[in-house]
Amino acid sequence: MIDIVHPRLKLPKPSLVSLNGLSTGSGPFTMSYGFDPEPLKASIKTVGLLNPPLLLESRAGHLAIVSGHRRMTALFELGEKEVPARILQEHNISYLDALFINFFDNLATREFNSVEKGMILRRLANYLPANEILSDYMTLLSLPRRQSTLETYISFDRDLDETLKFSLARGAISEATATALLELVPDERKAVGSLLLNLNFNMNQQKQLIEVLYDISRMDGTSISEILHAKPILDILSNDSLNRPQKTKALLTLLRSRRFPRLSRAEEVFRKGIARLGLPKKVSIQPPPYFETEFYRMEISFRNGKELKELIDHLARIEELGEIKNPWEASN
Amino acid sequence: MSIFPISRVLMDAGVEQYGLFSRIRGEIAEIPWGRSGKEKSRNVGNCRDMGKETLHLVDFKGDILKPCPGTRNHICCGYQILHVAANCPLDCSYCILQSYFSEPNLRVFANFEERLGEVVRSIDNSPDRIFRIGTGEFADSLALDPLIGWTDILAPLFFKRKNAILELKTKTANIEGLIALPERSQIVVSWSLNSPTIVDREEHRAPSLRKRLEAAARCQEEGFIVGFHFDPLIPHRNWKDGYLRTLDLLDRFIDPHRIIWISMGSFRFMPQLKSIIAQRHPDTRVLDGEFVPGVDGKMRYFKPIRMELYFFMREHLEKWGNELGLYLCMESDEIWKKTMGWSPGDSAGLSCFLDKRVKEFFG
Repeated sequence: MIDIVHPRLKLPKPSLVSLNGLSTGSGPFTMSYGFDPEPLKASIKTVGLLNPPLLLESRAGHLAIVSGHRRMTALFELGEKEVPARILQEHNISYLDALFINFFDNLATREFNSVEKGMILRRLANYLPANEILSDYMTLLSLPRRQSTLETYISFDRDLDETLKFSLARGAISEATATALLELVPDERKAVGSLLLNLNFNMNQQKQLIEVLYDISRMDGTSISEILHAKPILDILSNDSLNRPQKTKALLTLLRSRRFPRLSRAEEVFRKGIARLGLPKKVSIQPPPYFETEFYRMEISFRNGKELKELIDHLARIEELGEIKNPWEASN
Repeated sequence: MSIFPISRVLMDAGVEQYGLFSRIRGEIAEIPWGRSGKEKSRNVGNCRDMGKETLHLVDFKGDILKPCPGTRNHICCGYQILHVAANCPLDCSYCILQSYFSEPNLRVFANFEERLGEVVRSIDNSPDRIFRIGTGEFADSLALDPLIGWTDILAPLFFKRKNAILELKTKTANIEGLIALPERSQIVVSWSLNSPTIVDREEHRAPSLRKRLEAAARCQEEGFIVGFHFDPLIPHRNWKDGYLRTLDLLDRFIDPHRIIWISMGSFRFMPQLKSIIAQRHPDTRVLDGEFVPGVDGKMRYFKPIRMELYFFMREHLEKWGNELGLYLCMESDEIWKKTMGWSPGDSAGLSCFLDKRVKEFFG
């Protein structure tokens, strides 16, 4: 039989608490990050506060939020001066139990973002050994039971600056990107992070940029900051005639040609060769991915059989089609 | 006694009943021995420690004989892996085992001798098939041989079985156990070779090229058939000169007529290995190449780079010997044709080619 009421948790009746002097930031027990308080504010404005927050009063008289961080934030933003809250006393409950109250309360009702998972694991790590966290809590957070995963998530909370944390929580950068950024020293992480966010790289581009910067830095023995401050890069970033997607593309192309000179050259030779063929607009020729397999692909768009026949006739008249070959064989 | 330092031994429950336990206990009783308990999985991706000084005697329950894990769309040699150990005391920066196994330590299967009956039955039940069996895929075949005595136990099973050979692949010069064997039939001893630059810079703890080739020469003198594996080929500054120096050494020490095969493969790896290599070997240059994802998900050098490597090696190897049993490891039909001048077509074709070599050398 499970105890319906926590044996050490006797919930007191709500009493009014002044919001002045009560920090609504993340405390030792809360695990909400990067949330939008507007829906909750609308709810409170419409139907009032249905469930009073739970606070813990220390022996010195300081209050910390055990459960209700989002509600407190919403109430604060609504300009409330006092809120009804249940106040637990420090001698009645352990910090770990206070943490569990918030964790399981949230776990039952919503999904955590990556930063919140990191906050939870980091807080649990203050009280529990790693093997217990791995065996009992990782799967509750839909994470694999790996030490490396535990450390990565704790790092999300501990080591990313607020801008990157917020971007991760909101999905503007991926977990893979955040993980890769954690491998950089703080100054470089900040420089790369702001580049990613300013130019609005998509997830795939984020991954490409970090990998290529990391590789060039390792191969050339230069710092990522030095790479990013090289003139060709600065020229792209300061070019007012380019919009953000164009700058992103130009930047990746430039870095990629430095990291993969032969592949980039092959792609360029191929692209120019195809352009010289003067193919009809409804026909395109693509190389195999990375030229790895033997087979090139031609795509023809057409409305009907007559148009298809016309396009095929046109293609048959392009003599140079017979000269398509692997770009590294082009000069042979 | 092993030339590689073993600082402790872990034992799975019940391994004391196996013959190998007494043998190893007799060799290294003086170092700490303990129960393996529930060893924590290695923290793949973060941990630099692979437990290369811990010998773990495992009561192995998995398949002891299994086909080489070839990948789709690539031509595989059809080698059978005799799984007697996992992990290796050498520490090559490019080693795929760094991400292949989740468990740390030099895991030696203490019960392998008791399970060899399964292997013998497989061989004897298919007398028309040639079994090319090796222990060098998940471990170095000879690195721990002075301690474990694998050759003493395994080789006699093959001497009289004409439809099977045992290939012992190594980077070491630990051949004393082999030399002491009463026969040489159905045994291939093969060495992994590379350019001197790669050996010096990337093959940590491994003997020099010269020592490997001296050992190979001694094996040839002693009547063994040998093989070589240029795998992984790694382009680096002046790589052509480097590989030519290795071929010069090969010429100085080895009789090309008693080589059953020489394989070539370029460096390839699953993407997750990259960060492990970078962490474990911060000074490595093996990650500098132009790697692109292959159709099997592995990272490989951009195709013309691979072709240049193979073409160069083939050209110079064939100047040295015209019947070397050259083959490519895990490459496509297209690369075979363009660099080797022919192709076995598929994995069955390559198996057939290598089986024929076995018959030519061992009858």
